[in-house]
Amino acid sequence: MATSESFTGVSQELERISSLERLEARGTLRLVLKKAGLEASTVTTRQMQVVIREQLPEELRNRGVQEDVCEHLLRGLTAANLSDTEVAVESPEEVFQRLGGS
Amino acid sequence: MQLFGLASMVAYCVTALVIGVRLVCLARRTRGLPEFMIGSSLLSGAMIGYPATVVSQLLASESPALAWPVGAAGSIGLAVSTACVLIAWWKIYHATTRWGPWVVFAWAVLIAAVLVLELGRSGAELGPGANPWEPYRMIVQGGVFLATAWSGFRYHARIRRRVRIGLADPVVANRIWLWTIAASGVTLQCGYILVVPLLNSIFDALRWMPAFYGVLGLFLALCITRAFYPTEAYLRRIRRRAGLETT
Repeated sequence: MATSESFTGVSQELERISSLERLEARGTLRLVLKKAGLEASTVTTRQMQVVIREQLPEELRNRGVQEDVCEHLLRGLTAANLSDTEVAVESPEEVFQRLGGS
Repeated sequence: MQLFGLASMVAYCVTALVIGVRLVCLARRTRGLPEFMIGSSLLSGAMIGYPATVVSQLLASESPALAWPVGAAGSIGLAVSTACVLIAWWKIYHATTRWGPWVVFAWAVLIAAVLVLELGRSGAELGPGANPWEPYRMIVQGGVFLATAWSGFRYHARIRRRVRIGLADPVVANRIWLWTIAASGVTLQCGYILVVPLLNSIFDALRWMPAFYGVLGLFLALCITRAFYPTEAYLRRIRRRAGLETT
């Protein structure tokens, strides 16, 4: 399954700066995204920033990775200025957002 | 009990009319298919299908000649309503899947088949409990609402997690929840008719049907009102509960 640019970028960076291997880095990120109700294929940069700030530290701690990695990832994500993938089809959330419109 | 059932039906129909018109008007502005389908479903099901079906059953013994066209209108209304919810389910939850259009097509064929069978009913099959195709309609109709409820619960579980970290609007999550609960309510209504023969061995399930439908009808009316026409006070309460407002 295709992944979003922010997922690919962050997982590559996580693999580079931590002791995690490629599969471990991607798996950890996928797990964190799942816990946050998000998907690797559609996660946006903003969502990824929140997840890195709020949920990734604990997950990395459990894997014996230093938490300051998250700060590094956040700085890298901001600097990379990645473009979010344009999704042609609306998400259920967007549809229901509209359904309450007056 | 009959009176309560009738009053609840009227309350549900009025609510469905208001919300249905509101959603169809919204669809005219947004050109969105889901709102048009949900609005049309409420209008054709609650304004035509459901009441016409009940009235045709009442007319069956008094005026069979009039009962048939009214019953036919009821069957068509319910079939259109079910088809609309089916399309809404696909467009909202499974628009990107390859299998989505095929499921919609196959289920639409089933809806049409049951409709044709119902339209072929004789006068003697129009009375209460006399419709031989009713269980099939309930399976086809209930299946669509069950799918809506299933997809809704799954999506709601995800969006609830996003709400916790501030990545989703609690009002939207609540709207999905209410629509899902409403779909579950209709599934229950369909299921009740299917299990009436079994329940009859425990209690007089047929006699309690108007009360059961009445209570569920009122509950559905409350759900769709709060989902699609919420008051400001209700929205504030939802946001306050999610910790977004302190007032």
